[in-house]
Amino acid sequence: MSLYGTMRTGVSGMNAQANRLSTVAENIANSSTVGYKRASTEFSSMILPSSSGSYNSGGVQTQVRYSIADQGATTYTSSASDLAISGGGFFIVEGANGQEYLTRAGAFVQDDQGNLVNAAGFTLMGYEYQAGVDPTVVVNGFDGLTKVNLASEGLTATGSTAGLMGANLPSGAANGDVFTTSLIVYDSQGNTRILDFNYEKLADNQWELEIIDRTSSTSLGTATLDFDADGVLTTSPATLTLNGGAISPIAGTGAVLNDIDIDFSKTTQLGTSFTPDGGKIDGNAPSKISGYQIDSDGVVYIKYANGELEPRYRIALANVQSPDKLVPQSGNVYSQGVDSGVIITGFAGSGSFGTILSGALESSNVDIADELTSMIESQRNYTANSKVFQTGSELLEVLVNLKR
Amino acid sequence: MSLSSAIAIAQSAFSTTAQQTATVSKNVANASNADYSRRMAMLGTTAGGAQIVSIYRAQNEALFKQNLASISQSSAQSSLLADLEILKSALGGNDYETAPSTYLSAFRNSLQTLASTPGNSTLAATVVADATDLANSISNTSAAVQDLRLGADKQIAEAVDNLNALLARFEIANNAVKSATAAGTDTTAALDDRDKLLKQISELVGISTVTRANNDTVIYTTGGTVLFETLARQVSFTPTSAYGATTTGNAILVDGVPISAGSGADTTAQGKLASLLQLRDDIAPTFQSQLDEMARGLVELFQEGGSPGLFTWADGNVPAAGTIEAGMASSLIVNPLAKSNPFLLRDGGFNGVVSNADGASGYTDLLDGYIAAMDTDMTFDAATGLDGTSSIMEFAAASIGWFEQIRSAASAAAENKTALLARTEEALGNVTGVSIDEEMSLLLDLEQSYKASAKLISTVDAMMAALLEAVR
Repeated sequence: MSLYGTMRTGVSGMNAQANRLSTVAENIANSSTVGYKRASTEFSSMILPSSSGSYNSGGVQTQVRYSIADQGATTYTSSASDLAISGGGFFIVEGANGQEYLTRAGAFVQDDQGNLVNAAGFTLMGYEYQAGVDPTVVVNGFDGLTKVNLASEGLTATGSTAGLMGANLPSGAANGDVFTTSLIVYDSQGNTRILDFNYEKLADNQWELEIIDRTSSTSLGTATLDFDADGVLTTSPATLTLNGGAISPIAGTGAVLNDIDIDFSKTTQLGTSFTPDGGKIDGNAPSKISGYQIDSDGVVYIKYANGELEPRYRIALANVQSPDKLVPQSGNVYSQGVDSGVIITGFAGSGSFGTILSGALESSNVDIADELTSMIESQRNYTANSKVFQTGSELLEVLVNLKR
Repeated sequence: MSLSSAIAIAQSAFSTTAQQTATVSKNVANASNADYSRRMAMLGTTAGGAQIVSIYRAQNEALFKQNLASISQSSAQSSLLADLEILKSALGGNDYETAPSTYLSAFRNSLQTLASTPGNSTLAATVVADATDLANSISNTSAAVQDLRLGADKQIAEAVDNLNALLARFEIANNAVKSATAAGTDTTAALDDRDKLLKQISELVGISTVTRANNDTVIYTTGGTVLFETLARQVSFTPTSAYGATTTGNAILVDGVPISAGSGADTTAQGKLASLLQLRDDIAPTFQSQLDEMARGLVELFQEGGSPGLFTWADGNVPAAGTIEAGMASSLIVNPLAKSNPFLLRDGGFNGVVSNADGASGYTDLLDGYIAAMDTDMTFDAATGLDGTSSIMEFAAASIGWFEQIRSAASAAAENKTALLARTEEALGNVTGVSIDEEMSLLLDLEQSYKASAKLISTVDAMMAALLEAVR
């Protein structure tokens, strides 16, 4: 029976090479597909039991492998919503059927709803920020994920709650000298109020800071600033809580001013002119959305026209123990397979997850030169296998011709 | 590494070289733009291995601040000098031919001539004519000084409008810088624009800047008052429509705090506004007070019987000695009686007190008295800034001397400050300016690297072709 066995072995070899050619064909076809991971074939021998006198030729078994963990080259694009992962991990995307998949194909663009959808029609998923607090991850599942939506919302404003103001007070000033600077603060509806900072010299090494709302001339708080012989502030704690409620709302607005903590620890008293350091205050005036920005940790910021950034979503990443064993699906997505291990979700920049590059794409990891050499190799192997089959067939013919 | 990645890298080299070339061409195009800072396209690689180009802007914070200070000083000094030159030309130019002191000596000379031939009616008429010229000169100079103050006031109003407009534009430019910085996009153009506005603002007022998070800039005046912080602060000024010697101009308020005027001929003023204030509120009023004292001195010298004689003024009295009578110079005139009868000067009688009752043609007592009095020390108000005890002749000469000293000191200071400005601009330009030679050599480099990338691509292409040839 070994002649038939030889022919079958040849057929199995041809099959195996055909499989290999198929993967080469697919790789070449997808050599420009963003996030595509090359398929390769590995062969394993199948050996039949043989006795010492006769040999029973076996066959070859094909196994297709995917180099999913092998990173493709990063290329830069001009779109901020084109995302690439540098390192491990996958984007979590949702298909039209509502099912979550993993992918490395990050060519996302906004659809008519404002959702980020990639070239294969999968929607990017992430966790939403609630009141600016970093969201919590559900490590072992897809619960809590929402579609990342960049639809422009209206205006927003944030009231001021804390700030700092430092200045050098001229040590040579006469008692009673007053120096004034001012700072803009925002009320709960984003209206601006000007606070005047009046520094009045009371005595040597002692000043009084009074903060006054300019519009209503209401004093919001005073602090005595004491300096040591070196001009260093000794008042502690060096903060002043302004009573925002003391200012009546701007007529007809109903907006309130929060209590504001002003840190004046950077005040000095040295022998030079009055020099305020610029101060700093949180909060912002109402502003239109002018775009979005995605940082390397996957935080999606909404960008306002005045330059403020507000975190809105955090893109979730997922990974498995054996990424190469994920089950590929159409559209460059992968689903969990029996051998891949369970899916773990997390954020970029932590654990085994890489960082997210905005405005970049991960190219396919196919190398045409490699594929062409494989192609030549399998072509030769296929021919050799066909020769085995042909030889078996010819020998059989000889055998058949013995019987007349 | 593979052939595919080799070709991809060569492709990215094309795009980076193209961006670098674009930067070079932008630099060359802006080579003569004083407000442009040179851009440098720096190459780098990211964690992903891809090449990127980041655009840096040549800048030097310390030199820029020094440049702003130089602009302020130079602008203040040249504005002061320009106005002093205007007054100088009103006084007759280089030799001060139309200054009161010139007319005063002419008047004294003709008075002496009359004293030698007191009967000559033509000479008497000449003295009255010279007296009229002197009175006109004093009142005209007074008018010119007040015109100068009015002009300064108008310039202040204009400059304040301009400053408010610049601050409004600064808000837009500052927001552009903040937003570009926050978004990580190209900030260079916005920074150029903002720096240009800072230069223009510093021409008007001396400033210091503080940069906060996100490249947000706060502008203070050199006195520490806020000009811009998140929003522009209001700079307010109410112009005065007419100026007399007693008029006081309004202050310029920045955020409610008045801007202080400069002082000295080599002015401490930074920015045009402070020097205009100095001219309007210090130099011009002092000069005016000197003219007022001259007028008062003349009225006092030529008084008859306690009332004005040859010289009189709007009030018609002889004011108290040694005290400025503000605005007196503007209304100084020659008594109209002297024009109809020039011999009143010789004989007296403007107020009915006739010294030469019989009209003797050789009578010179009064004339001699006047001539002697003009050379005798009298008391002037110390507020004029001149010697309080001197003859009127000396006082008039000292007044012009005072003015010329201020003007020449201002002129010398203006030269120094312009030179300093030129030096700092040059130093800043050396750091931030575009050098065409440098850009051209850079362009040659880029051309070579572009050619090398092209060579890479064609080589990889040939290798691929060889491989494809093998597939049959």
